[in-house]
Amino acid sequence: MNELNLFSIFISGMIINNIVLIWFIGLCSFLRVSVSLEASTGMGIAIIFVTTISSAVSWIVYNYLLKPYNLEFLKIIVFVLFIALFIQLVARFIKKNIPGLIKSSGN
Amino acid sequence: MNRFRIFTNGLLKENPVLVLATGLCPLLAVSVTAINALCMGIATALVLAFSSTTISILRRLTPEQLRLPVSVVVISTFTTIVDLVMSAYFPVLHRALGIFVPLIAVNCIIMNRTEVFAYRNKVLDSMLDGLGMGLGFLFIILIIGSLRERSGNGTFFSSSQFIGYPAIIMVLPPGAFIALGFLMGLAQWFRNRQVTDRHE
Repeated sequence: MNELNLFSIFISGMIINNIVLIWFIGLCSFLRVSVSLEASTGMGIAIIFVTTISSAVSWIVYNYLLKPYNLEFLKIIVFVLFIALFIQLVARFIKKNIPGLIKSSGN
Repeated sequence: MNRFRIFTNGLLKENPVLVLATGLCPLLAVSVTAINALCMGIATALVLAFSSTTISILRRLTPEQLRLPVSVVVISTFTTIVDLVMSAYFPVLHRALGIFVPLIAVNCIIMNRTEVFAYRNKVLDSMLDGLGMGLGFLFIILIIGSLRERSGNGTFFSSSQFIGYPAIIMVLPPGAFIALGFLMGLAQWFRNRQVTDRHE
């Protein structure tokens, strides 16, 4: 894949296929947390971090674990489980290092 | 709290959409037509009822730290079942709902109910709570779906009922927010009126 294509994926994810405005995904936390600027910033950074890492992890899991064994039908369970485990790590990290954020964003 | 109250709690008093403001992603995205809304509502309600029951059965066996992974695995198992059944028997509908069928696995309503209710209550109570909350969601998504299809496209369950000009904005993304806003406002007004009635 050339660089122009990677750039267009990035732009399309950011603007053309914006998850909140076009796809309506992630609205629950969006509406809850956007009450205060501080909580929104924290939540935004946490989500950037989690989506970036878990996209890469999901790709590896899908292509090297599920596809070779024809287990594609398990993808929902496996993706969600990996992401949940990763989020617990992030939540533990935040709780330890930035204790204010958890309190301001509810859970 | 008796069983009937637990069941009706999700329908009106603690409606997951209007009061708790959860489960908004599928609600806004899938409610373009009434039939899509109906099927999405049924799928969500089924997954919610079954996973609440299962998690409540497993609640004594689950260690505190493993709650999130366990509930996630249970919910996504039921989601996978619904996804596969839907793609086998209703392929057209499955294509129309698209990404939002797998996304039932991370639906806020289901996460909220399993975490808040199913881990702390008996099996039958959890099942009724799941069913009530699921039907509450079904009810609202059906109202918004019919409203948007009727006013934006001039049809109702695909049968033409065309009167005047359709407001195309209602089938576009902003229409979903407009319809939900009015519905939430109505619910808030109704609740406020009940409260003042009780005070007088």
